[in-house]
Amino acid sequence: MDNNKEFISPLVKIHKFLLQAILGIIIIGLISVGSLTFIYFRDITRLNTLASSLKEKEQQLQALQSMKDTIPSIQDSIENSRKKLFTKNEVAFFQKTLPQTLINLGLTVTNVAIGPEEAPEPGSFEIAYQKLSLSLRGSENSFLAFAKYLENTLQKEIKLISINLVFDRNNYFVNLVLLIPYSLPD
Amino acid sequence: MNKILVIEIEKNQVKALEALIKSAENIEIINFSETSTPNTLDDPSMVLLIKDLLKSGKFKARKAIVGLPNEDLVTRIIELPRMPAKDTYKIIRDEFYTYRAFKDDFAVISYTPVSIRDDRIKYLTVGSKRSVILRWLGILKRSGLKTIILEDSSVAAYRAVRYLYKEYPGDKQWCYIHVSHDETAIFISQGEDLLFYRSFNFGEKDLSQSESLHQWLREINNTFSFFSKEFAGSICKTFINKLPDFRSNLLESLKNSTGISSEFINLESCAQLNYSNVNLADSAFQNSSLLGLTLSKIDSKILINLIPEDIKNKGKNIFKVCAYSLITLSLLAGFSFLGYYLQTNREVTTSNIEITTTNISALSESLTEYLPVENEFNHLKQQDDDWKVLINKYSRKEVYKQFSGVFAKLTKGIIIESFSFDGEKNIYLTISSPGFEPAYQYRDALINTNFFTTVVIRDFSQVGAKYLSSMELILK
Repeated sequence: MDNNKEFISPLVKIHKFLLQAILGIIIIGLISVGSLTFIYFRDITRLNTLASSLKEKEQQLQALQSMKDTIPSIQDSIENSRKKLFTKNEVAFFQKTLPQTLINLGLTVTNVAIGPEEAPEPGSFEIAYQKLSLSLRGSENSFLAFAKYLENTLQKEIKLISINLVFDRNNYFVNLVLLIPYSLPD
Repeated sequence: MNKILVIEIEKNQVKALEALIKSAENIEIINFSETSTPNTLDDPSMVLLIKDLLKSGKFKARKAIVGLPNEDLVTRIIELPRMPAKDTYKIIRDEFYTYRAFKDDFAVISYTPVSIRDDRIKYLTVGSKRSVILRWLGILKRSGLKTIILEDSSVAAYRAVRYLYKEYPGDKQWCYIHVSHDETAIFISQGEDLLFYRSFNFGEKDLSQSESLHQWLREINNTFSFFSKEFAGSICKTFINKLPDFRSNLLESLKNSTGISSEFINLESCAQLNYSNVNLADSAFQNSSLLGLTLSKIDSKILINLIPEDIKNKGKNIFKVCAYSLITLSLLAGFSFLGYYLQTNREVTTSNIEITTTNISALSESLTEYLPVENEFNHLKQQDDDWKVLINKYSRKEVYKQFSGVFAKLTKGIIIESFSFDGEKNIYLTISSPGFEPAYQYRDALINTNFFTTVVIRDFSQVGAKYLSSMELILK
């Protein structure tokens, strides 16, 4: 036996060892669990970022699919719009038949002037314009019939640029200028 | 108030006393018994002896204060300067390890301050081998007793003498000589301060022979002389415990040898002791050790207990071991569960990350395939928008609005004298009417067509019988 030493009972040795074990477990546990927690939350953050990215891409894909689905309807819409304009041949036919049409509506055509083909508007449309100046004489009902013809019978777009009307001796004398847009062949 | 069982153990003698301490001034002796054998006993025989004594004496209490024989103990006075308790303990412990008795065993020590002069403190120290203490504790346990205090019988006897003679003048020096079977212990005090202690190997067994008595007296005398010389003291009175085999002229011999008057301890005259309910033997009154052991419950000045700390705290230590084991297991379980939970979740998360990354890659590839669609869509959408703007710009509906809006609402008598349209939104109109009232009606009719945002009459004039109204119309 070594002198000057305190007797330490096994119980005290055990509980001192247990205390050290507790301390060791706490330190190792905190380090291990802390590391795992750090890695876990790092992974969670990464997963969240990836999930957001995935969601974003899904939305993008849905949007693109929606675009793809919409393309035929847009093409239809463009085609419908295109159909509302004269073609070059239709314009020629319209100009040729217009005097007779006006006479049929009860109007007297005193003058017809067809302008030159104007340059297309800037943009992607392959369209051109042509001005049509008309000098007409007739009653108010004749002019109203002409308006209804433009509104309902004629299925193509046409723009009235100017109109000047004078009433004289029970007749209306009208000078009007129409702008006819038409699509050029592709 | 609990009954206290006090046991004094000598080599071949065991004495037991049961007492009830009602207060420091009122101690009731309930029971006393003693037994002895001619030979020294081994442990099983000692157990049987104690058991028989307790049984025959009809002792009820089982919590015991036990005085051990001087032969098994080392008692000293150690004087030290005032210092922290921890240092004091270490010095006293190291002092004991210098004794040959403790070369091969741990020392169990107990000490108490007995005298303080200036900055120096005298400690009454009692020590024993751990194996001896454990042996006695084992014997007592096997005898059915729970030992609460274990101390030196001679120290206990000294405590009793201080208690019995506490009225003795504080400035006088007195001596107590405790004679046991094998040893004699000498305590020299001034008032309550213990100044000197010595023990030597002459006991009761030696005093029956004339030669030995002279030698014993010489030892006493030498001790007193040494004390007088070292401490410049003068002892006024000597007390001695009375043993049955003492020679009748012992006190006279002692006085003749030392020149100091002596008397035997006699508990019979002690007013604080109440023994009216029990018939005590003479020997009970001559034994101050038992009273001293009893007083250890109430005397806070001389506290000696040789029960080792680890045994005293065994219950506490077992509790600590259990508690720490539980904490250790809980921590292990807690951290393991947490670790398992985190690891499992991490694996799931890692798996999800892989799946998500794969999905993102697949989506990215799909998106790459869809990129031309986006370009085509944007191109077509732009075209469509442009077409719509164009169609809106050249809408033939405007023509109808201009004509029908103006001509359809003409009522009888109203004539459009002039009409001009600027190609944008504005129409300037001059009408003739039979009066102003029809012109207003015509204006209201135009407003009701909902083709125009504005319909106002700017000017009125009269030319002959005609009323001319200039109007301004703005198409929607």
